[in-house]
Amino acid sequence: MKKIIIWTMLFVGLIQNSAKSQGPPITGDKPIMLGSDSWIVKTLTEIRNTEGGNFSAAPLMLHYLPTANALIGIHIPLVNTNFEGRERNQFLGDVELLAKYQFYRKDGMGKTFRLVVKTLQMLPTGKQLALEGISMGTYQSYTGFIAGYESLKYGISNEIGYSFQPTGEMDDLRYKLSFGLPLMKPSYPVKKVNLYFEYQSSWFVSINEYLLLYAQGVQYAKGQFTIEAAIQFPLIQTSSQQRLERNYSVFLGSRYIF
Amino acid sequence: MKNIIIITTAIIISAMNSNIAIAQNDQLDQFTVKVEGLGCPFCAYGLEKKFNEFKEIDEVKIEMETGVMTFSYPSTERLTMEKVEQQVDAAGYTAVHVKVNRADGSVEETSLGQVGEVDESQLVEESFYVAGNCGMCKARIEKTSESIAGVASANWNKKSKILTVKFDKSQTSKENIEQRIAEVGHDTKSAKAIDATYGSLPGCCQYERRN
Repeated sequence: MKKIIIWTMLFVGLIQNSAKSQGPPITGDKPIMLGSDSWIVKTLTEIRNTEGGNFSAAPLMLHYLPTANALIGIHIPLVNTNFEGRERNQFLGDVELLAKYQFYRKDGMGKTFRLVVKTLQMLPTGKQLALEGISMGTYQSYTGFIAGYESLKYGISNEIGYSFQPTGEMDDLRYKLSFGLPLMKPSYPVKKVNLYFEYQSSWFVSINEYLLLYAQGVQYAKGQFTIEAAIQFPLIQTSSQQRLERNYSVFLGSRYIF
Repeated sequence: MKNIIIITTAIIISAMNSNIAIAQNDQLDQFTVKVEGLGCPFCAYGLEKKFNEFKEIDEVKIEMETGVMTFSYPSTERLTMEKVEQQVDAAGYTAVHVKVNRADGSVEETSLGQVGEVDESQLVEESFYVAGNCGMCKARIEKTSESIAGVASANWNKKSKILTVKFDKSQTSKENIEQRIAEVGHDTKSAKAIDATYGSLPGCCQYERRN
């Protein structure tokens, strides 16, 4: 019964939000790129509260677009861990290398639909803490596809992909769905406030565990600067490690494009 | 007396400045570009950033709701519509219409994707010489021709250098097509590309020019 209610709420949420949404997501990814020879510097700190303690990852992300349909990037995270009953720790997390290639584009007046293939290579520079998204300490290779439609009134971003790990233990099939709602009339120069509604689903194939997260965020952009904040909480989680079960996460981010 | 001299001097300087401004404005080409794919204000930022690579660009404005970008550019640089389209593409968007009001009073306009909107009964076929070397030249010559309103098809033969073009004679003319091809850097018998445009062609496209 609980599951039926959750799925009904999700469905209703999707229907409502899909009718009036726009903009790049916060916890998800987007298929739109900002023109060749552009740079994006951003951060998106996650502060996660779990049954076993508090953890945070503050990555410095640098993205470069060599062409209008390609992006390369590096993410260098600083991780803080505070397991209950243990000392607080700070260390370098798993460095990530990102590449995206947009292979389809269909433009219309004030709207666009794009398809992007994406790969994310996570290097084992962090500690082996099995904190997915914060510090795994093992090599991971993710490949995914992003499909996004964005207009001055509507914006939907979908991402589906598979994360592979040499041991296979934490392989997961991911799906992300993001919607935004512009609160201001679109104008240029950039000045906007958007609300976001984002869903993330992970199925850990080998251990047969499932995680469904929902995030609600707000973003303010002016000129080349953007600041954003979101709160994410689990709708469904089946975990064998109860101490790592999530209660909520807070995201705080900023972006600068040039 | 002192005040009169100061005011008179100020009026003269102001008048001179306004004359200079008018003269400078006369030397600017005014561009209007309709762009598809601008789904959010950041897209417009990406577009403007790309166009700022044209160092002397000025007065850039983008209307989000209509997708219309306007800007001015020194007429001496003779910025072509093809370069504008390429720049929009490099920004990751699609130009569907470009209009230039040249400083000399002439107006150039392209409306992409109009093939098929020609009046079949007005169709004529013409073949003429167009200088060029390679596959890139072929693509440029044919794309430029087909972007002209009224042109139904264009085929350039790399060996013979002959362009065969079918067009609606009520919408355009052979002379107009030749002129537009010259504007992107390819000489024809009756229209020559300016040296700067020829010089900006990729190395493989720089054909041997006839005097």
